[in-house]
Amino acid sequence: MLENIKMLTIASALQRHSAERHSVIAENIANADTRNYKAKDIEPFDQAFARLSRAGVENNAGGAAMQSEWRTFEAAQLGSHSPNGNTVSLEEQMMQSIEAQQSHEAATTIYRKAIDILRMSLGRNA
Amino acid sequence: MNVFAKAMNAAASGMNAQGFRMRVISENVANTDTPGYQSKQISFENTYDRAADINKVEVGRMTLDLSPLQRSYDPAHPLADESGYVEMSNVNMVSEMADSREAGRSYEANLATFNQARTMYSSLLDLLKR
Repeated sequence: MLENIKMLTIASALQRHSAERHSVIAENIANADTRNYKAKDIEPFDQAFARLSRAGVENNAGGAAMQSEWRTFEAAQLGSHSPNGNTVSLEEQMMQSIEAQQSHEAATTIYRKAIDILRMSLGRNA
Repeated sequence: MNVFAKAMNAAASGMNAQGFRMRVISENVANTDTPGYQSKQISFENTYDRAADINKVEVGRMTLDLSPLQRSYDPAHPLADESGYVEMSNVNMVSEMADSREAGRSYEANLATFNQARTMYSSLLDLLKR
């Protein structure tokens, strides 16, 4: 029922995207000193959401973008190559993990506010 | 597996590896003055944990530093050879110190990630409490 409200769909998709991105970043940080490890990232949310919505419309799934198939790619920043072939830059990863946390926070807040509005419209203001 | 658990699992594997590295470094530093001690070195390996679907980090084989031992002139030492030299350890204090700094810094980064995943998860659970 709640999936039919577009705002909730987008908010939960953003939550899943940022949680997944955070998990990829956690792997990068864990492997910050592993030789030949290549830093990874997942595609930005706007691109991923557009792609999944298109796929959802084509499959007559109502554009729900409920699948969490985020594309992963190797994201090496210029100049972050270590002599042992590792491309993780800890500072870069910290910035990205804060970004992921903030977008997750934003999505959670939007979700909560949407539920509040629904509840208010029902007249049972808790 | 829950995506936050994946992140926490990866961060925990990183903390585990960095903690092990710190242990090896302190063993080397403790044995700086042990005659004939060869410093130990570890390398990290990236392994894919199929059950948890994450790229963990694991400690690889431990190797000995085969560089020549440091010779110091001390004829009074019981282990001195005919020419009065003793073979001490080949621990390089400067590189061990740099290594321990790096291990500490990486450990903190992993801990920060772990805490972030925990905060994100608990903010999600707060939605249920309302």
